[in-house]
Amino acid sequence: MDESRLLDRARAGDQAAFGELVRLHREAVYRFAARWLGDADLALDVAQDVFVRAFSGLKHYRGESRFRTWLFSITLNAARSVARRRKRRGEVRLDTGADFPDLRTPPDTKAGRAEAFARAAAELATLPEKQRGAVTLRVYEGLSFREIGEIIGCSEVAARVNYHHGIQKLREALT
Amino acid sequence: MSSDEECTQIGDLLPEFMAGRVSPADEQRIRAHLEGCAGCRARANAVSLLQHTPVPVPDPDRWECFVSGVVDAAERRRKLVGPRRIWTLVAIIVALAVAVFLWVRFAT
Repeated sequence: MDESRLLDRARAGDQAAFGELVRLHREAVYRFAARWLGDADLALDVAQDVFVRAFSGLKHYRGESRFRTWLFSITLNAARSVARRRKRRGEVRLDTGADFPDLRTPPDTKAGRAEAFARAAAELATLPEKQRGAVTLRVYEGLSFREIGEIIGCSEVAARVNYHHGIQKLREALT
Repeated sequence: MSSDEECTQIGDLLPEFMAGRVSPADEQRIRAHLEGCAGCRARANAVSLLQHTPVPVPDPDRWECFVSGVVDAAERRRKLVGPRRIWTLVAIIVALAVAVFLWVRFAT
């Protein structure tokens, strides 16, 4: 069944159709949240919250953007709320990439790569919010700058600038 | 085209280029540019590193329960804030207000 039909049925309260939509998009939503937050456990909770919010807000989704783009907007809002709550509670992650390949594992043949991946994840997690959003959505999801602008709340031009500034900072940090 | 503009255009396409999703013409143009531009090569390396950085796969049990958990939670939320619930609440409040009014009016 195609996505628009699933959406119509989910709007009408069809739980099975909604479940199918969740199945179709859960990995993308989870990946985006995990990379943006730098925390896989939190990302799973965020992804769950995103779909619950999406279900109750389905009547507001008019199909002007792709459904996945709309879900990414909700994901970013949910992830921002979680990050702010974490900050208010004074929770500090000592290793921003802790859930990604662990730097503390004993050296082995993969240690160099693991370290590079951990650094990349940690550096990404330290970018300002909009740059992090733009880089994540462009590099991993291949979204256009127009779609990225819709999600992070800025113009297409500003989304492009945020992406380039983010990549530049990562380049400097990772080389 | 100035060098900066060229670098910006190449930078736009790096995610698709590194993932092998550009046209043959763009691929040739990007390769030629990268050969002569150390800055863009460094940016391409950063993009490639990011693209290869894995995200942990969720625990299979949690992932398995994810869909049913979401559907149940969404349904609970819908029932909680559904219109019927709201009207039930309004009816209870009105009934209580009438009861209090009648008690004040006739019992005192």
